[in-house]
Amino acid sequence: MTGKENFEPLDELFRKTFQDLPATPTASGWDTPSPRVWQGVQSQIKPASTGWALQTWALLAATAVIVAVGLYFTFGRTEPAPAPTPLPIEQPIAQPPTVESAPKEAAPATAVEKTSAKPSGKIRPSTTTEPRPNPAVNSSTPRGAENRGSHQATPLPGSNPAAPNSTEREKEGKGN
Amino acid sequence: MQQYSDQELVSGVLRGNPAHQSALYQQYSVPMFRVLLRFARDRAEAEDMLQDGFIRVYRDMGQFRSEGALGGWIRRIMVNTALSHLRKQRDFIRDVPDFSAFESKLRTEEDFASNMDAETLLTYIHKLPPGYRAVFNLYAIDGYSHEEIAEQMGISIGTSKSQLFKAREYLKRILDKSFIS
Repeated sequence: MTGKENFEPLDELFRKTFQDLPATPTASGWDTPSPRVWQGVQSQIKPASTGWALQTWALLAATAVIVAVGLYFTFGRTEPAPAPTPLPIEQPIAQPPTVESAPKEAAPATAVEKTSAKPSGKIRPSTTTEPRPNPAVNSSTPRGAENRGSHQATPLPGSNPAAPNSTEREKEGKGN
Repeated sequence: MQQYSDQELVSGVLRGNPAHQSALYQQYSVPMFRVLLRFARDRAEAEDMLQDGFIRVYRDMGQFRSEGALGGWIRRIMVNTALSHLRKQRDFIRDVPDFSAFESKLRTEEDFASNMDAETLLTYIHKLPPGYRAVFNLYAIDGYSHEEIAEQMGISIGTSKSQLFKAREYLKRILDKSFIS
């Protein structure tokens, strides 16, 4: 292979010739491309965007959505309201079943409890007061004496009436 | 036509401004066409390369870094585009074993009657096989090293040296008796 110096004049000729060309196109036009080149380039490059680019609009829309969601979770979401406390309903005090012959205060507690245990279908406020037997009455009068007077079954003829309970039996025993 | 600085051209092209796009083409089309004429086999192929090259310039303008000159960046894109075109040709890298057949194409009266201006030298370059032409352009005129040429063209360094030597031989045979040495 021949040394590099043998071709240096050749390289220099081509290098200088092509690098020292004037800035302006030559008169012959050999270094001027035809107009079709620019037309081809124009058809390929993207047209100038009018107004804001699509990406800008997409970015704005995404930002707006994020802000809206953030505001919703910050301010728009209210705490769940506590369950409303049922207002006390004024209800008539449950009346024990009417017993014609028995006074109310002497009514047996069991009767009152049975009555109050009946489903009334309405919420019964806890403040409802139950008629309670008077302790003073209980201490002087044997409990249920009046009741037995009115509700005691008539003994069958010829039967030995048994004392209704131990208290009565005691009383009867003392009396005897 | 209004003259813009490189920075104005770049920012305008990035905005898609038609005036800046046109100004960039007007400013660089002629020097780039001169480069591509050396790599192409004829004017039509050089225009195809120029069109593809400018499309890449507009498309990749966002990758331009202002550290270097805009003209140098565009020139590199044009050279790469030219090499891409040449690589598609089947006889891109090949030897020309029958030198006499090639020489007979050049030894015409009108070849030697010229005063060896750029246009005339271009006619000689166009008659070289594509591989010879590319390596000679890159090495002798554009100042690339064999390593760079091998990397750019996807060939070995030895092939680059061989192609350069043969290109020079052909050109020298045409020119030596009249103008060189």
